[in-house]
Amino acid sequence: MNKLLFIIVSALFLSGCNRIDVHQPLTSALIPLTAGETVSQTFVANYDNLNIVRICLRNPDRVQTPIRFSLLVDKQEIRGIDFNSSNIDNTDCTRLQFTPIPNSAGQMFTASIMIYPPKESNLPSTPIFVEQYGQDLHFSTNYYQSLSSTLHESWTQFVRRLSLDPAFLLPYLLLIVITIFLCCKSSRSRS
Amino acid sequence: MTFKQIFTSKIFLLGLLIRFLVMPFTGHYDIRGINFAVYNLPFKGITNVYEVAANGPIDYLVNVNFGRDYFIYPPLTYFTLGSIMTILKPLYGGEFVNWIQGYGNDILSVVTHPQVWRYLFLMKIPYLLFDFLLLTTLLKFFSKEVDQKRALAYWWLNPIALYLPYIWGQFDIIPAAVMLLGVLSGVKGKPYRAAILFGLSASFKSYPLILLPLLAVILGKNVWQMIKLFFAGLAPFILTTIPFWGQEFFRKTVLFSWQSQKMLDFLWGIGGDDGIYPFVIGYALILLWTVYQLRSQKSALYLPMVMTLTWYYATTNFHQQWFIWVLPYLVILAVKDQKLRLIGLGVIGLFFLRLVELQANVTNELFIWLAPAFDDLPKSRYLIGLAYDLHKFRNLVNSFFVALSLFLSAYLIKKAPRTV
Repeated sequence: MNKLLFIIVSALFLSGCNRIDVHQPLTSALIPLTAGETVSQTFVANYDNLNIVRICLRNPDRVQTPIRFSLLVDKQEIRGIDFNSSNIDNTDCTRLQFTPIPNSAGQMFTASIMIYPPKESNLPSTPIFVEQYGQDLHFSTNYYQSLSSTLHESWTQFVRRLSLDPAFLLPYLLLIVITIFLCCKSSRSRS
Repeated sequence: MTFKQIFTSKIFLLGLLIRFLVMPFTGHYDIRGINFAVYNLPFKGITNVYEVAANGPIDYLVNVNFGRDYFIYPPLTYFTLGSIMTILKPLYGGEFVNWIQGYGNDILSVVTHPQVWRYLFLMKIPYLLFDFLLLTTLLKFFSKEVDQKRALAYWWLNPIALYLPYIWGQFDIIPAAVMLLGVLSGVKGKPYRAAILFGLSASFKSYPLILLPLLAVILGKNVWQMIKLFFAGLAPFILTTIPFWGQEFFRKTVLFSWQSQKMLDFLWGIGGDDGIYPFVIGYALILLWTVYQLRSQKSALYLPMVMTLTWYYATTNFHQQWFIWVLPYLVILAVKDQKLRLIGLGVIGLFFLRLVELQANVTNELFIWLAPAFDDLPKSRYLIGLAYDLHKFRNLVNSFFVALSLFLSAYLIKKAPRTV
């Protein structure tokens, strides 16, 4: 039991957070992608430590074919992941996680998905699909942030926002105070 | 207990304080989805939300994230919540319309909106009203003050009853309260009122329709009265939905929605292309037991309801918020039979164990309204996955739940009164 608790607590403090950065959620069409074809999306990261790109791939016929994800800067691949299409999450976007890029803020990246050409794989009888909207893919990116930094940010955001809606917050606090007062009064009258 | 005794009791005030403390700061994104439909009545004067869902612009944030089939609840839900929103409209303010529409796709603007805590608090006010109704109804099942005090504590401080409406933000407490009122009417010897209240409850969420035959069998003096009770129960559901039957969107997403038939997802193959449904087998057994053992036993009206609902949860990939349907009856059982308190604790434990491994963003994500960074903290399912296989964990919890459901049913059958 202690070991289990140790693993969970360690994971909580060591894992940190993967925060959402760029998000293009709209979807209006599916692009079919067969062996040898590539689809790519450019984006500008807003933060340092870019570490996840989620691309919404669909594999309705559960075909198994090798795929390469590449993250490029100026046409140079700086991160790459090989994976099999059986790992595609058909109900969500497929998460492609890599070592954080420390100085990613402001840089333009190209994320590309390539189905390996036929000579390196069995040609799938049906294509893999990529969700698309207009000229964009359905995708999102995350950047890594330490847990302590996330918690600190959460707390400071909360305190700052307290002053934003006084017309609600003041009567609300009054309601809380009255309830606490009545609760204490009820305890005293019993004792 | 009188109203004064309830409202001045320490347990009530403590429970109320907890509710007030969580109401503005927590909620599942679904609460926006539900109120995205609700706001059409008070803010736009639209009475047919299904028309909006079928033909409204696609670029509303809620449509984009949840799809058009998000308007899945029967009309009475939208009219009730919409009526309360109309009364509270001056407190919402005009900016609420822009907020509920989601500022294009800017999720961050929605989550960190200066008035978002006010909106969350106001959107949960209807739950508080029905929660009071449920509590006062629940207490009427007991004549001794000591039992009423226990029932007050078991319900009002129940972690599930606090979590589902106020932290998660789901409205299932509304049909649960109305159905409990129906059961009370049945126990007090008012069968038609009970059936109509079941029908009204089904007009919020359709599950009481499954329980209606059980009510008719127990409260009907003969077959003719059983039939009359059954149709009296159906009437409110039919009357409140019939104006929308002509609309294809309504038929597809509300009357015959896939969610209302989830219990048929679990199928045992028996060879060829044929199969049998475990839920239906259990339901039929409960119905037969009710016919042979519980006829005219109006005080036992809630027993087959508990058995059917727990069997439903055991054999269906149910949505966690549906669990509040059975909770008031489990409280009644725990108050009346001290041995069942252990079962009650087991239920609460399994409920929260199932919750922490759900994919539905229902743990730290509920606190994003305090600060969006909460969404980025490691998810409970991720942490569990580090220690043990998540799928096995989930299946273990499900298996324990089936065992608990079967044990509870066997126990209730043994203890139930019998028709001579």
